[in-house]
Amino acid sequence: MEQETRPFVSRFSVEAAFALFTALFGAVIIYGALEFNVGWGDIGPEAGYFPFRVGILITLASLVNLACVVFRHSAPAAGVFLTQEQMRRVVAFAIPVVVLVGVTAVLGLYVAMALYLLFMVGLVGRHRIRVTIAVAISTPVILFVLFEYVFLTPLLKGPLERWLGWY
Amino acid sequence: MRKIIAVLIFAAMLLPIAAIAADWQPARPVEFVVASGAGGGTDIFARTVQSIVLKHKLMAQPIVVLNKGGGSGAEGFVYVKSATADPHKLVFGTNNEWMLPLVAKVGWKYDELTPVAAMAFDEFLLWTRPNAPWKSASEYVADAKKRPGDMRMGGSQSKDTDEVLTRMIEKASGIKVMYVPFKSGGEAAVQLAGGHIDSNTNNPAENIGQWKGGQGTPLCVFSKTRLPAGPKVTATMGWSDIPTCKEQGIPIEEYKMPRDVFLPGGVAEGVLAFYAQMFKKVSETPEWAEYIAKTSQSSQYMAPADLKAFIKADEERGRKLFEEQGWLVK
Amino acid sequence: MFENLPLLMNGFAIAVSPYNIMLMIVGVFLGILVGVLPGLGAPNGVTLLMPLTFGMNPVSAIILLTSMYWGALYGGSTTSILFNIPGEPSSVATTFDGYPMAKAGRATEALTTAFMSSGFGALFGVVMVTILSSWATGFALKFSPVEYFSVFMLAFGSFVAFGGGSPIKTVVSLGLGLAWAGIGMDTVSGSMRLTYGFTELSRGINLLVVVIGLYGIAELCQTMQESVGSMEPVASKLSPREVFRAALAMPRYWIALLRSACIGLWMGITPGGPTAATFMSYGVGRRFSKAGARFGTGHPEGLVSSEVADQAAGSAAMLPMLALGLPSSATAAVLLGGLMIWGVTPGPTLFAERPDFVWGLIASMYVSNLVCVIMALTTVPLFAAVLRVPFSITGPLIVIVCLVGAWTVGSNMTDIWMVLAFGAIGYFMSRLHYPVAPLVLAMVLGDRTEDAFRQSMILAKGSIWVFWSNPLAGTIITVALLCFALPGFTALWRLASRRR
Repeated sequence: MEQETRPFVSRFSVEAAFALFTALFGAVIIYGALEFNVGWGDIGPEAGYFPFRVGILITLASLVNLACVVFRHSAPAAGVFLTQEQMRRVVAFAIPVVVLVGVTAVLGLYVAMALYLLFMVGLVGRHRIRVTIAVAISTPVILFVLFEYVFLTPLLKGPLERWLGWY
Repeated sequence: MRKIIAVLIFAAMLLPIAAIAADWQPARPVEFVVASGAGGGTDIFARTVQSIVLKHKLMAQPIVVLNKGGGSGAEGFVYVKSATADPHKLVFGTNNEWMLPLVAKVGWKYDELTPVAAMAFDEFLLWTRPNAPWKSASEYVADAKKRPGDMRMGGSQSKDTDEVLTRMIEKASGIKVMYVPFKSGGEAAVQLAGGHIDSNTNNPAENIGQWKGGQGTPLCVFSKTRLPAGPKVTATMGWSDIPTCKEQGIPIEEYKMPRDVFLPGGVAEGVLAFYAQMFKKVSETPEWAEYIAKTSQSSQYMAPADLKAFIKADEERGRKLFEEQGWLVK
Repeated sequence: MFENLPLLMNGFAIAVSPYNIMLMIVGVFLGILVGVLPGLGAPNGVTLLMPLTFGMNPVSAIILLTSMYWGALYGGSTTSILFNIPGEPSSVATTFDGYPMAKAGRATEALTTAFMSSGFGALFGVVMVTILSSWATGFALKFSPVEYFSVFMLAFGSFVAFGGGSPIKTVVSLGLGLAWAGIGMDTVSGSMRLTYGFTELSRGINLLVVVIGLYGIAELCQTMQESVGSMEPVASKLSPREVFRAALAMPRYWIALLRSACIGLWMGITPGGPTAATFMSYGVGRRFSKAGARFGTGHPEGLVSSEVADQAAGSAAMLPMLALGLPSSATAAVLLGGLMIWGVTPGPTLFAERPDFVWGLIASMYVSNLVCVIMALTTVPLFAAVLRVPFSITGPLIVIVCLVGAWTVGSNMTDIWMVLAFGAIGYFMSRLHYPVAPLVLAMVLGDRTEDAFRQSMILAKGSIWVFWSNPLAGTIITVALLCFALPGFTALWRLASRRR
């Protein structure tokens, strides 16, 4: 129970970090817009006019946000953003998803999703073997038939499909 | 006699090579990548070809059509370019394959793709709004001369075919107009119908609906000769009644946009030969003739070598014009 | 007003044949299927069916394809409500109240309400199309970039200004959306903007990729973070009687139904498009409805607002498409391409030239939407039952549906990575109470608004007063600006009355 409530990161730091992130993003937009003319030409606004101002808008609004968080330390900024237990759960969800995408790039969507489902349903979800196998096999097969044959929209394929002669 | 024998032997030696070349067949589904959004002129072109190939069974493998129209078609060309030597990906486009790299930072150079065939050329006309004071192209030009920068000309996209033609008209007839870029030719047609712009340079298919309904009139066609006569479009006029722009005193010989197909770079000779042959067969079907007639384009098949030469010449012409306009991207 | 009636009857005679009814059923079924799979969606589905219709007669062909379109709109709402994944951009606003309802165990009620609202919106749209056909096209012709800009500003004003939450965070969210919408080819100058030399960015950022990440993936992260107890499925009553009860409750929302239908009709004809219509209708509802304060917490009226407007706009948009050749949604653009192939030229004379086609289509819209409602309602218990499957199975499946959806948008690996990135951004945004909806609206309308503004400036040679140069544009833009100013006024008024 103690682990359940022990704070991992405060709301204050995340608010500040996200405001910094958006401010940085705004700066990147300003930089990108500067490649073009940002003024008002003789036929109205130039290509960089709006992106430049949008960038400034984002940066300024983010800095105001940051100031609110830092100086006022107002009520919403107080408290806990994630407890250790919550952090553990989010990470346990996010890492397999990132791995899934990484594996997809190499093995293709069908194989990657079968492996991911085996892992998530079987090992993490602790379902019975029969259920796990049924889900992990039927999902790619159903999607394969739907996308490759019914909708003629090929999904990303990998070495296994090539070896079997499906492109 | 010996000469003839030598030629015969030489020909006999070539035969197997030709046979091998002609023998190449797609081994898996072929992707038709469309370098425009769904519903655009290029999309209809690709889908018509698809339907003809299916109907006449010109290819054993199925066809998958993918729309990749992001960035004015850049998405489609980049996609096919990065599939070097893949014989199962074709991209359908227009002259944007070699014009776009001149004016925007994109991920391919025009000679990195292999030209396969040009199948048709789309015409351009000068259209004017309903109830316009000018009744002919020469009156239009005369009026535009009086008030430089006031005549509103609409077109699809910026620094693309329509604006290029507009700048050519300006140069050729010594006028200055106000060019307004829209997302598509269809939008330019509706703006013309509403009288928000004075003129546009749409293709026949983009403006025929408005013409029929009296919401836009063609002034002249940018072609060497008048368009072929067909059934009357309005009560009094058909395509062949439209004068050429040259007749009307706008000295532009001809302006057309090809409908063409490309393979990725580095494909084998036989692959190119197979597709070139297939598209030639497509262009000889009655369905193709029907498509051409419906969209009022001119059918003209161009083999890979001809198309390559055409592109090279056209690219140089474009480069010169763009340089004058200051459009070339560094 | 009634001169179109005989034409419509004639249309029914053409559209209502056993063969065409069968096509409607097939179309609606396939539509619901593609609508449920995000990424595939209506435009893709219609594109895929297109080759099959080349040999058909045009009336049957368009009946099949439009039925698929209607079906996909219904299917798109299903995933929005059950999993917070909008199958179509136009069902983003459906998630605002639909998903909280489903989470509270009211999935059956939510789905039924959504489908009934869709049916009402579509019917309203078609009736108006029947009555207004000749007037509306003339009206739509009045729209130059100046009027477009005004309409877009009105959509922004009515949604953003009526929203709650921190104003500064709303600005950040809007800004992010506008910036993302600006990436890629710029129509007015023809240059590639904000691509930083990455070829991948030159095609722009697809709205669906953003939406799948911000809603689908981000919501999964949120659910995962809560305690194990909340991961257990919330059973919803599945009996057909529950469906019936929810359907009977519809007349209670008659004000919302009519209000949203009118907004949808307006956005369909002008043509701002269905997605913008849903946001505008939701925003107006939140401001002017008695239940407005409870919007976003799972109130059926919020659901009604977005669904009715979506369908009303979708059907009304058929009018500018046929009469002007002007598509106001991605699907309409595909249908337009089809028309050319079947030899039907859209334009002002189409109504006079091919009355069989036009009125056959309009008549089929009455019938196929009825088919849609019936078929969609029968699927309600089935879909609601999906929520009974343990979350440890549906969770991973939703992840896969999101990734597959991201892939089908552009057959591109980058899109899949981007979905993850947007998922992370969406997670932080919603945990930190940044409103996400203004971002989506900004992405929908951002570059169109900028284009319209710059086109107006070219036409007016740089004079900003062009927006007040005629009564139509002037009225719309003034109302839009008032919308933006309204929150300021109410705050001042409150301050003043408190002092007193």
